Amino acid sequence: MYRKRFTTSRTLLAGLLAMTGLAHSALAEGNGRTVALLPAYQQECAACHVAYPPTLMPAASWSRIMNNLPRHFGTDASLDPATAKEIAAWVHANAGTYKRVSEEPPQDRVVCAQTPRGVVCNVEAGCRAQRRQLRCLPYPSR
Amino acid sequence: MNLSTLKPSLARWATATVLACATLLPAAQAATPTELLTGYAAQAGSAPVPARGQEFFTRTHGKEWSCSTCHGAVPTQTGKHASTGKPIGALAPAFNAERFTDKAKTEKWFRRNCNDVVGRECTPSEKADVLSWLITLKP
Repeated sequence: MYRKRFTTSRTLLAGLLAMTGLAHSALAEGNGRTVALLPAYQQECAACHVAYPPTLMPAASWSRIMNNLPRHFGTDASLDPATAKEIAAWVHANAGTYKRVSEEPPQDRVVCAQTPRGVVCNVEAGCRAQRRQLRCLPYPSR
Repeated sequence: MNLSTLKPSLARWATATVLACATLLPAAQAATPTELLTGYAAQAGSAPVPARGQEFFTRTHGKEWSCSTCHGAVPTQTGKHASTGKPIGALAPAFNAERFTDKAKTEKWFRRNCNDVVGRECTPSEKADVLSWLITLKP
């Protein structure tokens, strides 16, 4: 029942990654290619959240994220310029390559998708922080 | 392990990775919590006050979060990120040997978190107060 609500593979995949913690070393892309995580990405981004695979969003979404790190979904995630440049280059090189990634997700959140029923997101904590803006769904396990 | 037994492509990749790690990551500026505290106190020009640090850490500063929102009121245990829910290792150095051992990392997190909590960077005096209180927390 829960899964029927998710209309994009990206959302489902991101949810599975979030649940399993799969996104820790290497990430299998939809077409079988494996993208190794950049150490700086692991260190800086995964310090606070799941290391979302850059393949899951198009480059335009990643550009907005990387250009706005001091106001990153409500927290200051600013980096020194050298590290920011290194990570930006890597996410752009790997952005949007998952075979079904074509659209920019709402708010540039990997875990959100536009559906006929409105915006849905499948990370409980992200929804809690944004309850006013988003229609939220709990984890599938609950 | 003998590198020559590896496939040439793998060996190249491994070498490149090691070099990349060595050159791209900022060099860790090894330090001890006490050394960092001494530095902040010197910048502040006054002696740190642990009780003032605790008060600063625990209360809000006109914004939604306090330091303790994520780290816990007494940060000797695992905390929880207020928006992502990700566990945050204990902050008090006696409970987490990695804490306050890298000057750049310490500065990075003070900068970000003070912005989130206070809406500005913390002063050397505020950093010294908080760190002096954290150092007093013992098992």
